[in-house]
Amino acid sequence: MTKVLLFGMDGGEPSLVFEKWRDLLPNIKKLMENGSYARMNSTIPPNTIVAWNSMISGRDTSELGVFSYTYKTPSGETRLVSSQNLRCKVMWDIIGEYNKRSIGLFVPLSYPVHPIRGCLVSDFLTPDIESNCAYPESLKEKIKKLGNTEVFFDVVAGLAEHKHLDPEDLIKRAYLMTDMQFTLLKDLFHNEKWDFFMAVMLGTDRLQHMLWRHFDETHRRFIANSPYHDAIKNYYIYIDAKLGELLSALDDDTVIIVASDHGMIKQEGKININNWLIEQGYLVLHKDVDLSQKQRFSSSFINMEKTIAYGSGAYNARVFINKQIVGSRYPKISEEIIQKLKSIPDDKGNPLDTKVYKAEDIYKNTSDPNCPDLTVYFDDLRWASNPDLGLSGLYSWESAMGADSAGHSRQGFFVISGKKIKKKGMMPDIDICQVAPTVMKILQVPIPSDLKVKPLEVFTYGLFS
Amino acid sequence: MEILLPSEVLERIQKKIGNQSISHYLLTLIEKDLQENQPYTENDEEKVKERLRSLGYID
Ligand SMILES: [Zn+2]
Repeated sequence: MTKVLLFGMDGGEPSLVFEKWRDLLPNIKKLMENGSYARMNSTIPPNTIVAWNSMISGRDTSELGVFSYTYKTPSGETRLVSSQNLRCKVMWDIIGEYNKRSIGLFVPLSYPVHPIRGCLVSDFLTPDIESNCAYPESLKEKIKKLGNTEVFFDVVAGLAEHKHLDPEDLIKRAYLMTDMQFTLLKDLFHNEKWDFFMAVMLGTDRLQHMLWRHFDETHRRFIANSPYHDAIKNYYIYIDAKLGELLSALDDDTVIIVASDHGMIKQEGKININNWLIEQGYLVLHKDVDLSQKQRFSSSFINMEKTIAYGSGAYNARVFINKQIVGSRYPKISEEIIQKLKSIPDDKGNPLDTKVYKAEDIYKNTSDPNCPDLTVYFDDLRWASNPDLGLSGLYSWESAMGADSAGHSRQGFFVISGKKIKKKGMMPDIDICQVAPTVMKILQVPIPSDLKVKPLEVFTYGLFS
Repeated sequence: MEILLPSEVLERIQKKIGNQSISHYLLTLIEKDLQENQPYTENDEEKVKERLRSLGYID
């Protein structure tokens, strides 16, 4: 039976993989030449935990029930999301019902793990090795033998202030993490039975967030002659070589998918969303909120009796409209806010290509109280959002190191290759939700009847029913 | 769904919490109780949140 290897590069940027560094990545290039590939529209928003789960379920953000890293409980408490927040089944749950075995490694939002037919090791939201991070639990012993179990889950684990991490140390940690993860990956790849094998490499995302301006000459804070100019490129080359080690061990009845959850784009700066909403009269805070110093925004600051809208979100902005106050004026006010958001210029007065998505236009299920009314991509994500209070003016630059070099862009990349896959070359853009039904079709597992997304048309005629 | 509570209990709650809403008070209590089944201990959650803040992923 045909098997599927899904190799994920978090934040892998299509323009780098398909164009700029194509010839430096011989293994991905070969898959592209022998198969089909495309730019892949990510979820709205292109958030890591949302996008990967959309890829392995076929569901949109609202069906997953996860809109961001945190959510509000009915009593108003802000909690961290986990795999338990997912409202739908993902690949291992679905294909497991048809006796297919999966290995899922480091897939974002897989913590805490649950029993599956196969093996699961959780992601960067894992507190530590003693938590519920591995199924079966015996895998923990293998991880412990690898050495630094903290860095195993994320390069920034164990650091109080990431912005003080020096690039040299960051790069070292990225390679250490990847080497340890690969040791486990190869062990399971060779010694376990599987029909679906998926692993997500996080280093690409982390290095790009922090080091983008060391190589992108168009970045407004470009660092010329940086010793880290090639750090991202070298890491891509290293990951491609690691992928090559896996490919050489595969039989010819395995379909290989290499993909990313979103791409990456330089970050110009941040727009102080709540400052703007206050200035426009949409957001009213309680009188005792101290605006003389910078502080994190909290919903407890909001005077809900007078507030029309408030914002959150560290990359894209999420705007929540107070329906109790606006009542039937909702459509009019929503439209008014959209037009005003689109007219915000950059710090030099130039117009921005801002995109604003209304929940009812993009989501199937908008009843979740955590579903934002508006999702805003300032300048198509070249500008981020900053919900903090006590900032002066509309723009801010100072932030955690992770945030100020690059952010997520709207499209990731997708490459598929195998004996039964058409050699279509570059295809028109695809949607991230199409990956799951495509994998199910390859594995000859029925696609759930309520999943309306169509699999990709990449199959050699007649080989799959 | 409506939940019925004896008026005597309601009065005692109102006495304890003053002007706060009873629904909010009860929700907070229930959530605390359910936390035993939560994926993160309070410490673990703070640890991971701090990691995400340092990355600029959450505000
Ligand atoms: Zn990502």
